Amino acid sequence: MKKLLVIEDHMGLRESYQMLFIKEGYDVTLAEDGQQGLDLAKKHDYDVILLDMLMPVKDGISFLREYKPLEHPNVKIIAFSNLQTPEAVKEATNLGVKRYITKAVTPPREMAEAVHELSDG
Amino acid sequence: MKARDYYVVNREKLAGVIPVYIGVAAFYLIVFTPAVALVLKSPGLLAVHILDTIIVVWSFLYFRRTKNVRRVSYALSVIAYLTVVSVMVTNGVAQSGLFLAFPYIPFIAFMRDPMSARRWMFGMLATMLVLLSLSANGSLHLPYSKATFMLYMINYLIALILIFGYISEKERSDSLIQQQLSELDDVNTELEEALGERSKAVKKLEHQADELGSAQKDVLKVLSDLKTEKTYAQTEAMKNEALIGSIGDGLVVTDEYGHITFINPVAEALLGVTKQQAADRWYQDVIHLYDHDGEPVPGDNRPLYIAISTAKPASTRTLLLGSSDGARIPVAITASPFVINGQPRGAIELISDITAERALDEAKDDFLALVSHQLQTPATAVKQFLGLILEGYVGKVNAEQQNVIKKAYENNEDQINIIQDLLEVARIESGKSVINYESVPIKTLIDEVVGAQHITFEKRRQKLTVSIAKDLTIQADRVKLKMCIANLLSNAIKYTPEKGAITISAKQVGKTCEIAVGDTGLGMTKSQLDKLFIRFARVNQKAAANIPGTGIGLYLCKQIAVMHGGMISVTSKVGKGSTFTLQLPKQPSAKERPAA
Repeated sequence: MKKLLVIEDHMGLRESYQMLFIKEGYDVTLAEDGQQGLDLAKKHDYDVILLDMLMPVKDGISFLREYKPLEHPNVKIIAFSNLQTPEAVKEATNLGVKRYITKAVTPPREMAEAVHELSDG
Repeated sequence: MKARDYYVVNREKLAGVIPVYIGVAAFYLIVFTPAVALVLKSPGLLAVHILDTIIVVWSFLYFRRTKNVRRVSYALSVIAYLTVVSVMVTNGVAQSGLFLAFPYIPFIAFMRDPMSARRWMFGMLATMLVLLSLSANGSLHLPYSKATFMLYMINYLIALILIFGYISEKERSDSLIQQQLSELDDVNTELEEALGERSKAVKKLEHQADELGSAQKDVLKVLSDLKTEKTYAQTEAMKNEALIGSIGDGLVVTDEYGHITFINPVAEALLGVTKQQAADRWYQDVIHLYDHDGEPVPGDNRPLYIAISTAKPASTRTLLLGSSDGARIPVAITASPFVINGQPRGAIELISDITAERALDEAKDDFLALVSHQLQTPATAVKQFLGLILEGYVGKVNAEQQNVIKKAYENNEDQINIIQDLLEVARIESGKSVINYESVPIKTLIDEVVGAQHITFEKRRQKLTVSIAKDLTIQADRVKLKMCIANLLSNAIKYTPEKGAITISAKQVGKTCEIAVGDTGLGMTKSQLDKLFIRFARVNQKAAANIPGTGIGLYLCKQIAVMHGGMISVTSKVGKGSTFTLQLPKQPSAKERPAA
């Protein structure tokens, strides 16, 4: 079972992702902010990390800067955010994000497909 | 004035005297005369007395009735004359009767009129002369001696002389008075003439005074006008000063070479120089402007120089002003040239400190970020949960439940779209939204847009026709362009009735890419079209009342088109439908293209 870490500050979204990816057959762990996510990501090996960009305590970019995805090539990171400015997308991509998904316009199945694609590839 | 007027009887005075006469007469009639007649045993005297009494009583009664003195005195005179003559010719009457009766006549006559008294005197004398001559030849016997008669005559003569003397003296004094009066008249005439002359002179003087007055008035008016002009000029100057003083922005005036001629108090405070210190100095030496990278702005990029060189107003909101205390203040600058005979003669520049505005913008951005997070995130969560049900992750739902969930999902989509549009508008207005050019294949983009909305128009059984020129690509901001086309298509779906037709076409016209979205909806009138691209404006149509919308989509489309250096236009027919056409340059011009 592939391990998935969801880092999302909004409880509702967190829960919806949890439901979706459990159904899709993932071992899902939840983190409420960038710091919690960083602690977990450093302790455990995840196949995929779903990362929100705008969060309190530690935001997505800070997480990426500290976690250094390029040093963890086996961990696929997908940014899930409504912040879709080209600068933000570009910065996240440069820091090692594999895909940038605008969560407000992406229905669950599309999201699941994106995650499958990455984790399988 | 006639001399006779002097002898007019004063009736009031005479009326006052008459009772005295009556008293005397009463004494004479009642006491004296009967007593004398009794002593003398004279029946003639008694007869005269009775006659006198009758005359006096009659006179008194007549006077009381008529107040006519003349007639009374005339009657008295006639009766007295008849009495005297009758007594004179009567034998055996005592001489005293005549003595007593005789003074009546001249007295009464004199009272009535001195002139008639004279006639009466002549009459009396003539009567006496006739009686005397008749007595002398013996044809008439008189009971009086010749000496008595002579004495009477002398008395009458003396009375006559006195009367004449009185009359002549009266006439002399009258003529003297007359003469004096005439002299007075002459003097009066002379005086009047002199007065006339004087009044003429006065009039002349008055006229001259009037002329002088009018001249003086003219001078005063000129002076007053001058004073008014001066006051007006002073008021205008004060008004201008107050106006310039009341401007909350810095005001700098320069000549056509950029030399400062005036700065207002706000500019003094902003720049840290006084008006006197700034005067005649070169604009660039006093006003230090920087761009956002902190680099000084070269002269020819400054609004003031642009205004002078192009003779058109120029403005900017992106520069920083080096203030007197060394800080860099964000400023908005507007420069307007003043042009005389087609030649710029200088410019007026307004410098506004927009620190507060910027702070407000930041606050607005913070607010928007908050809204973005607090509204969009829960909406997204709802979308995800509904998506989990719709996509069967949490078990099967029946057709009716599915239908309800679908409606919730669609409404949630609308809500998310509105939030995104609002966020984009806010970003554009705050100047934070920039165009990120990339090569966008139009067909792919439109397919994505149609794909996202196909559920909606399929549900409304609308027929969509898409015709796109082959291999049409454009340099544009993919996200924004998608947003724009999505809005146009969403509107077309909303306003086209069920089973109606919608068309999307895209082609290249010269260097422009034209993307048109046509509907067969309600259509719009000219006045409705005018308001179409205004923020929050919605078509005011009864038929459109139930169609949801925020009035922000077309405003956003226009902003996006303009940001790309393009435009959006619309053609419409009421009842037939509308076609919105986006015209965007295929390649961004140098102005729109971001610096590499």
